[in-house]
Amino acid sequence: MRLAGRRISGPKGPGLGRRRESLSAHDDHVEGLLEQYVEQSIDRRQFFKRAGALGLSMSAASALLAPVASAARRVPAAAALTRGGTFIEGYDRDFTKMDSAQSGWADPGYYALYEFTMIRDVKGKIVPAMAESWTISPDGKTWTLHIRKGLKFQSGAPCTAKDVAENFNVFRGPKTGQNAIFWPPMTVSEGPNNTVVLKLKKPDAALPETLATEYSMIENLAMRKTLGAKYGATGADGTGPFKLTEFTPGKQVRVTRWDAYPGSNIPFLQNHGKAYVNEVRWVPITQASGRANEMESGTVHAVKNPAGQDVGRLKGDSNLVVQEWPAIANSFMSPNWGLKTLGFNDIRVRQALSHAIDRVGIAKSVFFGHAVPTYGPIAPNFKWYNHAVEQYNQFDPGKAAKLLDQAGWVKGSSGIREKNGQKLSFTHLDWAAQAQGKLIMEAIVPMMKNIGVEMTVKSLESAAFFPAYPKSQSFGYEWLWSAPVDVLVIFNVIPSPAYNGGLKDLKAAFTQWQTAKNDKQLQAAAQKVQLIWAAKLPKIPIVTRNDIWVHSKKVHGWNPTQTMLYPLYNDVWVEH
Amino acid sequence: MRNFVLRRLTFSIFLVFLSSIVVFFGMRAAPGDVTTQLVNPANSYSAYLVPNLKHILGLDKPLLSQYFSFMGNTLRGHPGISLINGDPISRIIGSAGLETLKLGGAAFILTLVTAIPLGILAARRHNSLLDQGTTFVAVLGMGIPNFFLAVLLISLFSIHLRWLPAAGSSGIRFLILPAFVLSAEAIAITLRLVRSSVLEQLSRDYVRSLRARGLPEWRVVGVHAFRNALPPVFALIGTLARNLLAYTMIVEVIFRWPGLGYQLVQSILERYYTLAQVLALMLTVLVIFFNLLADLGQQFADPRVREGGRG
Repeated sequence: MRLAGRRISGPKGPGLGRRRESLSAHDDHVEGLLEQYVEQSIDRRQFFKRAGALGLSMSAASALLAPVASAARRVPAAAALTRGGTFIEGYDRDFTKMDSAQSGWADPGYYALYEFTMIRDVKGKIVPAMAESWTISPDGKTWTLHIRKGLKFQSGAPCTAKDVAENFNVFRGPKTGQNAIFWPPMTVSEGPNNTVVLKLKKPDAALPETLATEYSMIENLAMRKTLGAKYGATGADGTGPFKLTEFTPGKQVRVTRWDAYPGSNIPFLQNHGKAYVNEVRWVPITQASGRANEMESGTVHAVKNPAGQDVGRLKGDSNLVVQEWPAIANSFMSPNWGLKTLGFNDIRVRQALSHAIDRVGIAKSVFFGHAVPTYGPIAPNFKWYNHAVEQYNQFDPGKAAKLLDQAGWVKGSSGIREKNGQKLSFTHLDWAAQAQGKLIMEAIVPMMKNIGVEMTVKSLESAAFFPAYPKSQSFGYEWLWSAPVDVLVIFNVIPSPAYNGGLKDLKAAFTQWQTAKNDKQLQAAAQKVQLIWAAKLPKIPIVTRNDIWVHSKKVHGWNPTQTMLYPLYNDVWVEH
Repeated sequence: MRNFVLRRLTFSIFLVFLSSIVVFFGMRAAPGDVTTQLVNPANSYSAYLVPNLKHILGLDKPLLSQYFSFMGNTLRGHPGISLINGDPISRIIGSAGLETLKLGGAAFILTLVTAIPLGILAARRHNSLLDQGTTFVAVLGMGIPNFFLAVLLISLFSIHLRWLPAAGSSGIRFLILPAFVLSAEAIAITLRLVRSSVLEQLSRDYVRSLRARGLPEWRVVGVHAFRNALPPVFALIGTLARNLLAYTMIVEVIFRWPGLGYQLVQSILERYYTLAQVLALMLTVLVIFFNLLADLGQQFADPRVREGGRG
């Protein structure tokens, strides 16, 4: 990222992240240890052993290790690189159309077909991709993106700054872009020398957060127009290293290597030329229990998110590599602030509900330990995580009961609290498409009962859930978005500002985020948002599940990171 | 016989009509619709997109009009297009139908080539170890739910032995486990029926006569006794086909086999009305057809059950 008046270039190598800043007396030793791990001079077991000798707890050592795990894997493997073959990946959903403008969900195929203008590295820092550099005017309102010359779409058509500008205008148009809501007001035009000029109404240092999401990946709009509704299914045209060969929902999506690919300049990639494998194939494994089976049987080379109960077994398989870290996601519950009769507009009631939740217990029981409790709206591995949120929302049923007493809710003869003849009883709507959501909420039901609150859970499928939730007493699900603060901006007004209390200080913090001029201001705003959220609870954060990535040891260069939804496929190769 | 056929045909057509009403209005009775799948609820313009989409899909018309439009298009062979990839539904059904046909066909053939010889052998060697063994296997086959059998077989052949893939549909190797799981119960039932039917024939006088005339044993059992034992097996085949079709939904989901059952489950969950309705109706029609086939088969094969005793 660039401060005003300075030109931005790529990263300076695999740094070890913000977490180092929190180290004190042992900084040098621990840093040295991490570097040894990144360079693969020591293995994971040795790392933990030596970290223990330095006085670090197991959990502290794990937290330090997580951000550098990907960097360690990028060190060239001992096996000789093999070109060709097919890489088969199990996908935990069924497929949606490969259209970055209109698809409701981004599939991993995007990362093979399309390219980002800017991309997040392993630490979440924005680094160049199709835009080889960018400059920002001193007032922070004009961004000039220098697009790489010589880029082409897979169809052979050139991809210039004009195409990028046109794509941006499609993405940010509410009638044309599914996620236009994330784009700040601006004008976009083609500038001289293959540049794209974005003129914003207000400075917005968070703009790259939107540019580095899957819904801002560049596609050939001419091809999109030609194919109409079939774009992204019968054909797609991006600048990525693979071409779409087959799109069969329910069965598979196949892409084949594009031999005329001009290469990538993404700094953290090893391979800056054409891809190594001939073909990548994704198969939908929508049943969580089937993912471990397909991995262990060698039916697929890699899979995301096996069932929690299978992870231990997979970790014990010497043919497999298992990595996990908190996803860029959060499961929450959202009592309707507008329900004054239930006291949901009383911060003491909201805090009581939150204190009643045993988040650690839920992480252990529902996710078999493959999740982290969240006391603020974002998981602790976020680059600008605010540790101060942990002073709030800790499991404390005694405190919860006291807060309800203070708010005037006293236990009636049935054991349920009442106030003015109204029982503290509500129905929570759960989105059935996310299997774990119902389990989380069912676990919360007895926790609520423990403090005299009656909660029932109603689970609805997508088609029924979305029309119903704006009028619900409470709802919840898991959001998943690679720019977490941006998503909180949206969730603060979903389904309406009034549903979330219309908190003025939170709105001000979001404005601070949306008008920040640099990373420092962004960080300050992000931390303020988290703190206010944790204290006032427009929505109650519960847990963040881990993303669990499993791959065969025969697979190399498949490097998922904590900052992106999926890994890139440029570096992937498979031992034959 | 002609009256019987006409009556059964008329009844079947009436059943199809009734099914089409149940399927269509049943789907619409479920809350929500497909637009919530297609439009991001966070989209600031969803208030414009949803009605627009409903208009394009004809979901803003009265239900009765939607029903007639659906039936008309389906009978003309053009029920609509997929909302996921823009393919005509007829093409999706063709491709998924082929996959189901492969799986169902393999299971059906496996049933016949396994159950008939084993059933004959078991009858021929009545009360032998082989007979008791096949009886035991048949009881297991009828008793183990197919989803549990699938888990056992995947665990053994895919995970531990790594001989067969755990799921998918990329070749003949992928077909073995799902076809076996799908056919397990059918094999057990057919085996038991063939055994008892052949056994019954072997106790008949004509068998003793044939043996007395010096006919080779394989001809006595494999040709004469078996031929006379066939009518109940014919009757069973219609039931088997119907059961295979019903179980295919479970097996296809477990083994990620992209057939009609898998597509139906997905389209119901996503409220892709037209696809779900066409698939549900098609599967219903097939079940009705197999029932009709079983009834007719029995009529043709066994004069004793022929209505009025006339052809």
